[in-house]
This record gives sequence, C-alpha cells and structure tokens, in this order.
Amino acid sequence: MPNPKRRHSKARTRKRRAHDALRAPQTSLCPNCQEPRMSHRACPKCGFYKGREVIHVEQNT
Amino acid sequence: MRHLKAHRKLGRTTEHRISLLRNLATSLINSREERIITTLPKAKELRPFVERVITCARRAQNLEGDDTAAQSVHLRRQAASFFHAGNRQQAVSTGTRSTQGRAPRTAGVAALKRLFDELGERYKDRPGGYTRIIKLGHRVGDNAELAIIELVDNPRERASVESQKKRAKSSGKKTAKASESKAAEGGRRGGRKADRTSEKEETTKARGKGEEKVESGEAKSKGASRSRKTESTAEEKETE
Repeated sequence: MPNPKRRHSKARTRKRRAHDALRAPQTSLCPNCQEPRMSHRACPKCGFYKGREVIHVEQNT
Repeated sequence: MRHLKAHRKLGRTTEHRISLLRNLATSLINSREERIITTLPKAKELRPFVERVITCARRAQNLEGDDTAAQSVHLRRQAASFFHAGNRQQAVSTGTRSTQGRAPRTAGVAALKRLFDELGERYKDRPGGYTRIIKLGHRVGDNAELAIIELVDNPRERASVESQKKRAKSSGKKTAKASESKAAEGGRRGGRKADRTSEKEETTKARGKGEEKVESGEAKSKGASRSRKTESTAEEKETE
C-alpha cells in the first residue's frame, strides 16, 4: 500500500485551504420591505416579487 | 457533445419520470390557485410539458374545416397522454353509473376536462408562455431551491387587477372609465398593460385626494391586509 513519505505540515494544509473560502451570496434590498433578499427570487420576508406580485402567504407582520 | 441531452432525469427511471410529470401537470391544472410549489428543476421540466398540453387545448378552440369533431377528439386523446387519464376507470364505472352520473373519476380526467373547458378558452389568443416560474429560495431541510409554477392570467391575478381597477375608479371616475374602455378594446395582454400604467397615474392622483375613503371601500372584498399590500406597491411605483 502506498503511504505518505513525509509529514504534512500545518503550513502546507493551510496554504492549500487559503483558496477554499466560500463567499456569502449576493443580496440586494427588497424594494418593498428593505430586507436583504437574493436577486431574481421572491422576497422571503414579505413575499413580493417585481413589486406588484404578492407571491407568498405572509406568516405574520 | 451535449446532443440529445435536453432534459433532466430527476433521478428517476423513464416511467417514474413521466408519471411524476403527469402528476405535477394534473396538480397544477387542478389546484384551486392554479399554482404549485415544487423544486426548481421539477418546475423547469414541467413547464414545457404542460405548455405542450395547453397548446393542444388551445388548438381545439380554433379548429376549422369539416372534420372539427374528429380533430377535437384527436386533440383530446393526445392531451390525455399528459395526464393519468386512462379510460380503464370509465369502463368500470359504467356499471354503476346510475349513482354517480358523469362526475370526473380521477384527478387526471378532471384536469383534462378543465383544460379543454376553461384553459383552452382562456389562452385562445396567447401564443405560448402559459406558465410562470417564480423562484423562492432554498428549502430548510435539504437546501433544494423551491419555485412556484403557476398558470398566467389566473383568476387570482385577474381579481387583483380588477380590484386595482375598482380602486382607481372610485378615486378618479373619468380616467378610470377611459382606461376600462381601452382594456375592453385591446387584447387581454395589451389591455392589461395599458391599464397598469394608467392605474399608476390614478393612484398618484388618489394620494392627493381623499384616499382613506378608497381604503375603507376596498377592505370589504378580500380583507384589509390585501389592499394595504397593493397600496404599498403603488407607493413603490411612485417612488421609482
């Protein structure tokens, strides 16, 4: 069985992972309720999309 | 090459997938609000599937020639393959027809009936694009992206347009009348668009005048929360 010849240093691991960071999704403010929401999706807070449409049943205020 | 890779498999065998699409189509057409919430890939797969069958119903509306009866039956049979609307149940029920009459036996049959009775008429002049997909974000359990798929021009949508029209009417009578006649003249789509723009102006006017009165009259129909919502949209448009 092939086995590692040398110990993998912390630096090596960390250098590899330097490029693994995830970015937060882009959001914009909902024009209706000013909450952040992802673009091209109905607002999760107020259920509005494209101003006019009420998509979701509202949970509560 | 990506030849012949048009569709998603949705992790199912062919039969399972077709069955799923038939079920989704049935649900969409039978649902009271004419909309279903499902995952985005399923919605995207469903869209061409139902639109094809709605086109069948639409074609049945504009038949010409002397064999229209035969053609309409043919279209209906073609459409039946988009639902679980087999006639096996019918054969069974003919024995006991006296009690039930001709009520729809299965959801698929009901959908087919509704499709040809209502939707064909509704989409007579619409060249495709009978559905709308609205993305909703991700589901909590499995992070699947959800979407609404709905039939456009559905009763709910028309009601909201109607109520806005009513509001406009009660505020500025002259302009509302003008817009209404415009809507009656033009096709459904053009008319509605024209309506919306004139509504915008009217609500702006209404803002200056007694707007409280309009609100109270409106609250009767569907509840105050609804009208308040539409009002806030109007506000938005104004600020744009």
